[in-house]
Amino acid sequence: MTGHTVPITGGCLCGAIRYEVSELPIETGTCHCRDCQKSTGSAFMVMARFSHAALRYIKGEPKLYRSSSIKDKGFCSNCGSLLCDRYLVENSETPGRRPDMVWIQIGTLDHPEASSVDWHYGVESQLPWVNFDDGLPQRRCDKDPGMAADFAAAEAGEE
Amino acid sequence: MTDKTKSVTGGCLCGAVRYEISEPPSEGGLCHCRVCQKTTGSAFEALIGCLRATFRYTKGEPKRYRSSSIMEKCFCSHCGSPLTDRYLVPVSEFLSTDKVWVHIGTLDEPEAITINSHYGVESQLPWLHFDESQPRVRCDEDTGLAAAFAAGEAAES
Repeated sequence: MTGHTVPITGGCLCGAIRYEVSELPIETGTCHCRDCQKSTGSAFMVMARFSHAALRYIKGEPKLYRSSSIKDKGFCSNCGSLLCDRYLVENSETPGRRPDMVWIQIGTLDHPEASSVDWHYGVESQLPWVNFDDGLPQRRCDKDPGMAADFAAAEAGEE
Repeated sequence: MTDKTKSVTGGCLCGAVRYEISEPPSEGGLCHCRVCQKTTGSAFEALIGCLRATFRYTKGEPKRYRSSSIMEKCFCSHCGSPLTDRYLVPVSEFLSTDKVWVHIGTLDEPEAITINSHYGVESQLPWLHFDESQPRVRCDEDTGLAAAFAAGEAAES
């Protein structure tokens, strides 16, 4: 469910990067894994999935950081705002980890309050003071066989 | 001398920047304001306030960004992880210029921190729920913040 209207707009803190998405999000979730905690500095990441083709940078472009064999992260090199994650696994069984998709960090949207959350991931490192009694699906990264398969495929491809 | 049993460490995602806090607080707070949402890309910043004298970078140096007349933010220029916020003008006795606010997600053991207050609650996202007995402050009703901005802007002009 979403309260967004298209186009959905957003950008970094300093305004050097602005983007527009022409479609509604396919899904939105939180990730509590240690990588997402380190990259947001916060308790979890909150990201919405869109087709990569629906995303257009109106102003500037993020700097890309390859955080692992399966993912690029985009941030503003001037102010540091984390903007997007994009997975690189061509034939992943998980649609959200294919490169034709992009995950936008909802805190950078002009209207993050229009987003609602569908699930929680990486809950093995969820901080003790974070409580979601929302009945939404919760999943551990370390019990996701699709994630292990995607890492194996990416590493085989790099050799 | 630094008490190694008490000190905690942290750093950015890629490992280019590492830090150590010799006397870390055990409690922190959240800020839900739009600036903090834009910075993290997440729902809020989660922070502990450390005396500057107790905080040091042990590897690398962050990039500094002056987000307003009253605040400087530090992040890793290689991977983007936000690391610290620092007030350049005092907002209150608590939000003072002798502290550095460390983003707890970058700690090596963030689970050791408890959260006891909420700031910027005027933009708290609707799907988040916290212990309502904890202090909750709106930025737009904080007279100290307005005064700090006025002082910061006067100092710049």
